[in-house]
Amino acid sequence: MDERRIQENVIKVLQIILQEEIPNGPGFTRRDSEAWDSLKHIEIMFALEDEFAVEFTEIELAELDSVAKIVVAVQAKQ
Amino acid sequence: MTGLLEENMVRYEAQSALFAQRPSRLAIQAVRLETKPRQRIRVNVWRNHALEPILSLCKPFLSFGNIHVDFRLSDYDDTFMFASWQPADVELLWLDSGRYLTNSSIDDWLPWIRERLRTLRGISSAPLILATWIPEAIRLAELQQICDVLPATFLADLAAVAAAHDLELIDPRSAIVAGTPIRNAVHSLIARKLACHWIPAAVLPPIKALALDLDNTLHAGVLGEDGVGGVQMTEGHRSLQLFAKELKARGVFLALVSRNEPEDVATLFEQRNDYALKRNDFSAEAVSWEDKAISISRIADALRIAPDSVLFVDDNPGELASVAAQLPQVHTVYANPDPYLTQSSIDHYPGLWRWKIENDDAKRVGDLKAAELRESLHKEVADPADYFAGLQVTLIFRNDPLEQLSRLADLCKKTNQFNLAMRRLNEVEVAERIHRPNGCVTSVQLKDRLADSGVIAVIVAERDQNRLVIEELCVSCRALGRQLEDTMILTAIAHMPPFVGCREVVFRVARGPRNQPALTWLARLLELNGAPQTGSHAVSADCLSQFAPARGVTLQWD
Repeated sequence: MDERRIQENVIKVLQIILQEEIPNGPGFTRRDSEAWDSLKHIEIMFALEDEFAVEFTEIELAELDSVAKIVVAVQAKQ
Repeated sequence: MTGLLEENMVRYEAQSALFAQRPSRLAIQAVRLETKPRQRIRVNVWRNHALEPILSLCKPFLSFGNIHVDFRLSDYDDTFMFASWQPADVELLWLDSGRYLTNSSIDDWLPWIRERLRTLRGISSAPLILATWIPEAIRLAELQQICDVLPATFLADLAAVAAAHDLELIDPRSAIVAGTPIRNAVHSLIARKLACHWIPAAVLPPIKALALDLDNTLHAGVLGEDGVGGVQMTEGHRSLQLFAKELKARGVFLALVSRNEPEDVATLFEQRNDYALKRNDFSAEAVSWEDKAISISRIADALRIAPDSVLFVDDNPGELASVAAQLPQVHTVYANPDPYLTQSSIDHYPGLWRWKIENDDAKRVGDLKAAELRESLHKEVADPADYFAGLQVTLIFRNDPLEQLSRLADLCKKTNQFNLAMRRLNEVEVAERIHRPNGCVTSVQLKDRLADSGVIAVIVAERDQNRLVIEELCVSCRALGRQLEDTMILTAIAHMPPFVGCREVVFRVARGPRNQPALTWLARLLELNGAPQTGSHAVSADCLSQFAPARGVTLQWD
């Protein structure tokens, strides 16, 4: 899957879990959303694992807090 | 109708996400169903690990079943003190056994969990679900036994849910980031079990009948167009038919609701040997061109059940919407072109799965068949005594039968028509009344030479000075219309130990939406012109002492 497709799918996951629009695409971070709290973060990480059939490390699960970081992490696992 | 159709279409489209073999977290969370809940349930969650990642997945399943659940989450507490307990409809113990079993042996832990369950059982009369797992599967039977000896206490084995889908339950990463060691891949499966099976089976009235369309539901194709040899029995449709047969064996009535020529349907079942379902598997049929809502009403009448205990399955969303508009209490599931998905959707419909299958549940289907024979015999025999004797009708009375607790609670929960006080006593409450020094609970079993109907009545009474108060009185609809009500009820009460020396018998009455048969029976006993009002109604104890049971009926005490 190329970077653009990964990014589209990451944004789709965020939209569904956070139930809000993701206005600035790759620049979107956890700080941009009040809905992205610790519980939603776990849901996002788990949904991303399902969506891309990957498994993040414990450190990644804690630190992947932006579209850009997630895209890089997913790409590295493919 | 268009609005209702659209509303239902959204619901039916959601079936493919919710009832896939392994539903994905994202697909579930993308489901947005706005439904008006039929039922609101309060669940106390007592826990030592996180439930939140699973709860977020429960909501779409609950919405699909038109259920609203308020989960009241406790703080994390390894000691399970049940602090700040408040009344609820269900008590859920969400327990990570690994937190104990890494440091102590299971031999030490099992007595501890038994004691904690007993403590909660003492506080709450609500059904109790212990959701956990134990690494030593061989000891699971002991944990099950601990639950089985407590009334209305159920073991939800989380490891079994994972194993059924070839998944490992535990993922140490999850414990660190999500507060629960349960693997992400299992979350959606557990959410589905919790929302569709475990909680509904603990509190909701059961689905009693599955009303199935034929074309593109039980086979692929249209009988009227493709012909008897042209409709296809795919592997998926065969699996669905076998599943329906399994439900029948568990006591769920099967009914056929089809817009077809009756002769074509008769020929189909005669000639197609590859059909797992045979014509006599259906307890009721409506094969005609009439409106399906009318057909389903007729089927409910024939099966002597209320429409709200019917689940209707059809491949035509228009038919489903039409039935939903005319009979909003009927439950509906869309028959997807993929029969495996239809099977999964039915399997997960709230109220169909049960924690326990009672012997009496399985007797229900055979008993209805026998009812038709009884009716024809009744027409042939003029004297009721000859009719009862010919059928070898036997009533078996049992006082305080603790071994029937689950069945008695089921009767209180399921009976709508002949239910005098509508108390809906659960297992814990029935057990508590059995143990009261002045109380008595009597069950009545009915059998004849055609069928054993099982336990068909429960009477809960308590002595109050010189009165015997009938707190609850339920007779299953399968025993109604056989002119045995007086014999079973008045005989049972007159043989209760606390009846001795009473001057009057007081019946508690609550007027419910459908309990007219019980009210009519009491009105006749009390010689009232209309139905008795909600409250208490007394009759002289002599009235019961002097009552003569119907001739020809054999009475036994066990």
